[in-house]
Formats: sequence, structure tokens, C-alpha cells
Amino acid sequence: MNKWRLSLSISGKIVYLSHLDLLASFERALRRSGLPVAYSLGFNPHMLISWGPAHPVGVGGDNEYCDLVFAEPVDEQWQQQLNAVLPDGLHLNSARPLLDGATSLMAAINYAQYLIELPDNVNTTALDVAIEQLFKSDSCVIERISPKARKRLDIRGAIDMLKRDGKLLCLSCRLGGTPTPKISELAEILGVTVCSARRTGLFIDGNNGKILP
Amino acid sequence: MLTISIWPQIKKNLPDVQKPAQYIGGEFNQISKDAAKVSASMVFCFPDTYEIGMSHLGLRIIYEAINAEEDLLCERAFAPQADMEAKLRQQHLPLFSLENHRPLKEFDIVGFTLQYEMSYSNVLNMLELAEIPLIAADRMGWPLVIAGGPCVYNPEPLSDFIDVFVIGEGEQVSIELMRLVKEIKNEGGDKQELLNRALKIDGLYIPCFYKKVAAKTGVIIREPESGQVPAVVKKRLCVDLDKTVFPLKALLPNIQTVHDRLMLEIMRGCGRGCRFCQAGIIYRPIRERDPDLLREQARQLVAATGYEDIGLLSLSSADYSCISELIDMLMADHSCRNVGVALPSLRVDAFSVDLAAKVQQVRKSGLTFAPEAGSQQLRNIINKGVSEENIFAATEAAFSQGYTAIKLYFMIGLPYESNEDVVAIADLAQRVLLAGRKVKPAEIRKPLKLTLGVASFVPKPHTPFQWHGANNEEVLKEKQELLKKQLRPIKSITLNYHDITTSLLEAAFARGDSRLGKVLLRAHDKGCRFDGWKEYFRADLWAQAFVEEGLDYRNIATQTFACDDALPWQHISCGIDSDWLWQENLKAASGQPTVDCRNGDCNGCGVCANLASANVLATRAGDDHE
Repeated sequence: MNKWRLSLSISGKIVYLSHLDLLASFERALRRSGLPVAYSLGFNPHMLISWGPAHPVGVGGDNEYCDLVFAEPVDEQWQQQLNAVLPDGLHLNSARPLLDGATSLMAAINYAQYLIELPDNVNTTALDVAIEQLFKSDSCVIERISPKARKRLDIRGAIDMLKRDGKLLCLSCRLGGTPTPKISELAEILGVTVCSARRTGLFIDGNNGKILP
Repeated sequence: MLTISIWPQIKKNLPDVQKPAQYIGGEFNQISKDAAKVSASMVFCFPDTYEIGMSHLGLRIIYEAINAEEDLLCERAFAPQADMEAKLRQQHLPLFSLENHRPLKEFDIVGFTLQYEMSYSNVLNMLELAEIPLIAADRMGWPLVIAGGPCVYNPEPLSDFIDVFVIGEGEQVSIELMRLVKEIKNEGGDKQELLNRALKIDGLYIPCFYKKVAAKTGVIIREPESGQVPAVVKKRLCVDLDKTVFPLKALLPNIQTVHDRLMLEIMRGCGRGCRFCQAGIIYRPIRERDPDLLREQARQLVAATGYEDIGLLSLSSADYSCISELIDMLMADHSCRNVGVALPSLRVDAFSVDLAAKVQQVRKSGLTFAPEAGSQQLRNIINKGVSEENIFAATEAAFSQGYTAIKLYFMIGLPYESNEDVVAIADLAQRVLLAGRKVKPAEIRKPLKLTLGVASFVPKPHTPFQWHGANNEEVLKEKQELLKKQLRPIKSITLNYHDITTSLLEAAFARGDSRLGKVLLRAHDKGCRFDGWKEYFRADLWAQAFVEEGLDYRNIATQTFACDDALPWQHISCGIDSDWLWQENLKAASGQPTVDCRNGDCNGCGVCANLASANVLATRAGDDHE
């Protein structure tokens, strides 16, 4: 087995790609690179890649993860080789070999941090009150409307930390288990508009604190 | 030239629209030039969404051809979806190009491709969103608004809105026109000066030089205002495809498109001469690319894109002379890296099924065949050249190889069609299914499924059936009901058919004259757009628009022309002799066949002589072909 854990960053226009389109874009880059990516067996061979939590459309990411299997050993140059053919805005930060039997990214990652940039004219006093309000209450119910259904979700449990620093908002969220708010939903609760948002980190939150995947 | 980007304003709206990636541009392999450093610019507009437009090969070719010239620039624009359109209108933002998010009105040329009559309302809507006056006569300065594509073989319904129509293959003539723009701008000339001098370029139809004249039948035709103006505009043609530009660093769309694969164009034209088929006439003669060149192009394309499928594009890929050899070469080069080959257009015969099996060694999804008519008599009338044996050979081969779902395409409303011919569709489908069950491998448990796509025939200009009217609403309805009744008891056959009003409107705009411009304008004012999309199509608004102009789309769609009647599109020529089309129409009436001219037997359609060209068939080194 020749399995690697990759950390990637997503920035610029490419953040508007849906998660699926981003995966297609990454797989095409891998094919351009000529690297010996392993494929599944069976009727519809697909590349052996498994991703961590999907990046939300419109939100950048500093450290997004995927596990990738090569069919044969690769030399040290492979990371540069891949970076040379990645589309604008997608960058391989680092990669480390993974041992057999490592927990999958989706099962392991359960914590995310975001940095949200607010406009210059944001009403900080009102925002601070709204944040305080949010933390005082035990529940915060939002309505999510999709073409198929209308759902009421309590997103309070997912929010671990929310701090304002000037016109930046730092958000820490638990993933999995309780419903997680979208950035736009949180902005509505707080009564602000968002200039840009990015996911700064994904973590495994366990008994030993938060560790990187 | 101004170089303002409205990206910051567009970006603000992206969180609130569906599939925002369709508005961002910046795709891998995008060509982005500095507009200030080129001499002439064009924005290529596809009057439908990004997902559909980015699957269009013509866009890719023109984009490549223009941008390969250092002094010229081509960017892209698509129709925004309803949510984005609402934002643009609310915020008074103009429609923009994807490369640099520049307003369309800042380009020298705004060029539309007309692939489908039901996209005409989108052309007007895009012009309006671009803040460009819709009527050509109202536009004093730049940009020049041009249009090309298959629908320009009857340009009249749009002739009030478009300054210049490009007839035929656009890769060379676009550049000639842009160079003329460059020249005129350098001299400080205006658009009228440009139009005057554009008369010297072959393949351009410039409506303002033609007067509208009522023919005996009441149909409006076009006649040149003066002797300097060509009475008939002949299409442009690339005689040697191997020497034309082909995009080898293909753009990778940001979102999944309808045909999301590599596009390798293996040939243009088709010699079969199906009498209903416009593409089979207007793209003549047959021109095949050299297989070794295609092999090299495929290598470069795969390396430059990383695509997982190579689509072999043409009107009928199994007809390509070296198709087996080409597929073998492509598979040898790419299958080890899990890059597959796709054949989007299959013939109805066993050979095609073998080809399909060759390329789809792993996935047995589904196959599609188009017998077009249910009875042999009607297939002879339309010169489909497919026998019942061919149909059974193809479907039995497919079922015996493990395919469990087959789609069959048919038409109703063809000339000389009787109700028996319609019933024959249902009958043929049932027999195909029964035969399939007999040959189906025992180990496959999944029941066989047939899907019938039954379109209503739309007579198109420049075909042997151009003189025939479409069936009227009642007759089409009756034929659809007849099919439904026949097939209702059979669970394994699914019947899909087309909306009749949409087909009749399509027929009206395919065959109508310049009076339709006013109807189109009214429909646009009432809010018609995306008429090819079921969820947006407003039959009621279209009906009102026609009533208000005192026209009836049903009459235009169903009108029959006599041999010597003037036709609204008679000033446009695709190089085919009109006498030959009439002869073909006569042969249809008696069901006489006309053979494919690729085998050497010339049928005398006239295209080779009229356009100084010939069929070009591919051979491989070592072949004994002459």
C-alpha cells in the first residue's frame, strides 16, 4: 500500500466550485500529472481518493484533506509534479505517508475553524450583542429550505466558539452529530453580511485535545 | 478600448445564486488576453446556459482560431439563469464575458451561435441584458452584432436584430471579419463603412443591403438593393480539415456540462442523404481527418486536460473510414491510464454495436439507435437506408452482449406518413423486445427495457422536405395518442414524446420569414426566454405574441410550398443545387433510394462543384486505397 494524506488549500475563484466539481478538477489534474494513481477494481474503475469534509461552496480552505493511493512507489518530486499542473487556486501544501488501517478522514475529522471577513461598515456593537445572545441561549433554530424539503434545525450545539476580532469573525464548529450552520445562515442570525470566508483548519478533537489529521 | 471588469459586483452576488461557478470564468486552459493590447475583440455568446454552451464544439474551435491570432481576442458569454438575471436587472449590471468580466457592449463584435430556433428569445434577452439596442437599425455605433450556426440557413426571423450573418464554417471568415474591423477602426471609419466593405467577404449575409419583397404567396423574400450585393450568399467551407485549427489545450469547464468529455472532431459532413436531415445537407461534403493526426491530437488533448473520456465527434462516427483502426490506436494509447473512448452517434447496425462493445469494455450502460421510422416503406421515403434486418442485427447484438437498456429514436409527422406507419413504431418496438429476450444471456437477471423517444418532425430549410409543412396540432396529437394506446399495456417500453406546441413553434421559426421578427420581439417583451426548457416555456405568451402581430404559427409551420414558390431562405445557399433537392423530394414520394456518395457514386447534389471541394476520405499508411 502506498497511501498518502494530502493537505490542500483552496482560494480565489475556484472556491465557487461545488465540492463534486472540485473533486473532478483535482482528478483531472492528477491525470495530467502522470502520477501512478491507483484505481479501484470492478466495472467502473475510479481513482482511490477519499476526501475529508466537503468544502462549502464559496468558502475557501487553508487546509483541506484527502487520502490518495498510488499504484506504485513515487519519487520525492511527486508533490512538485502535482503542484505544477493544479488549476489556479488549488495548491498542495504538504503530504505525508499514511499507515495501513489509518482512520478515514470522514470518520476522524470532527472539528472545523473558520475565519469570516466582515465589511468595513459592520456595526460591531450590535454584532457583539448578537454573539452574546447566541451563547446565552441553549438553542438556535434555523429553517433550511431546499427544493425538496423545508427543515428546522438547531445549530446551537455545533457552535463551540465565536469571537470577533476587529472586522474578523473566528468561528469554531463541531462537525458530525449535530447540524452545522452554513456561513450564510450564521450571518443572518448575527445580522451581518459577509465579505469572504475561509476554513482555516480541520481537526480531530479527542481526549488529547485537537490534533491535525 | 475600455477594460473595465465588473467582477467585484458579480462576485457579491455569487453566494445567492445556483451553481455560481458558471459565472466565474478562469477555467483551466482559459485564454486570457489584455484587451488593451489587441486590435479587435469579439465575445462569443451562446444563447443558453454554461452547462449546455460549454459542450458545444463550435465555440471551442472559434475561440481557439481567433485567440491563436496575436492581434485578436475572443472571450465567452452565456445566458445567465433566472436567479442571476434577476440580480443583474436589480443592480443594473450589464451582461459580461467570463474571461475578464467585461460588459458585452465593450467588445467590437458580439457574436451569437444559433443552434436551435427555440433559443432565439435568449438572443434578444442577452442583448437586452448587455444594454445593446435589440434592433439592428437602432444601433448606431459598435458593437457589431453577428450570428452563425446551423439556424442561419434561414436567417430571416432574426434579420431585424443581427447586423451580419456568417453562413457556413466560421473559423476563417471570423478572422477575416475581425481584421476588417481592425482596419476600419484604424482608419477611424464607422460601422456603416464596415458593412459596406464586408460585402466583399464571401459567406456574409448583411440584411440591411436587401429589401423585403412580398412574393406571390404572401411570403416575404429578400432581394439585393443594388448590383454590388450578392443575390445569393454561399456558405464558407474548410476544404481540408487537416489544415484547420483545432483546440488542443481544451478549456476544462468549471461545472459538469451536458457532454463532459474531450471533444475530438473526426469528420464533418455526411453522405447518407436522409431526406429529413438538415445537418446531412448543410455540412457537405464529407471531410475526414487523418487518423494519425487524430491520434496525435488525442495524445495532446489528454495530456493538456486530464479528461477521462475521449468523445469522437461527427454526424455518424461509425461511417468514418478508419474507425476501427482509430479506436484501436486510441485504446492502445490511453486505456492503460483509464482514459476511455466514447462514440456519441451510432449507426443502426451490428458493426456499430461491435464498436460500442470495443470502447465500452467495462460498462454496459445503454445504447441508442435511431431508426427514425417504424415501417420499411417510410424508412425508404426518408432514405434512412436502414432495413429491418439492420435494426434486429443491432438490437440483438446489443442485448446478447449484455446491454439491458436500449433507446430508439423515431419521428412522427413525416411526409407521406399514415397511421399504419405510426402503429408500425409500436409494433417494431415490441418485436425488438421479444427478439431481445430470446438472445439475452441467461446470467443476466435484469429485465430488458426499451425507451422510445418520439419527436415530431420539423421540416427544415435546405432539405428535400423543405417544401412540406409540418403535421398540424390535431394530427400530431392523434398520432401521439395512437402510440400511447398501443404501448400502454407494455411495461418494459417507456414512451417519451415532444411537446407539440414547442415543435410547431420550432417549425414556424425554422421556415418563417422576416415578419417573425416582430413576433419574437413581442414574445421577448412578454418575458419569453429559455423556450427550449419545459419549466420556462410559456405557450400562452407565444400565442398572444402571434395574435398581436396577426400571424399564426400553426399556418407557418404547416404551410406547403410548391416547386416554383419563392422560399424565405432562397438567398442563402449551402452549395447544394435546389433542383437536386426537388428531385430527392420526388424520389421520396415513390420511396426510391439514393445511395451514400462516400462510396464513389456521385448523386449530383452539386456541392463539390459549387464549392470547389470534394469528399475527403481518410486512409491509413499502407492502405491500398486510391
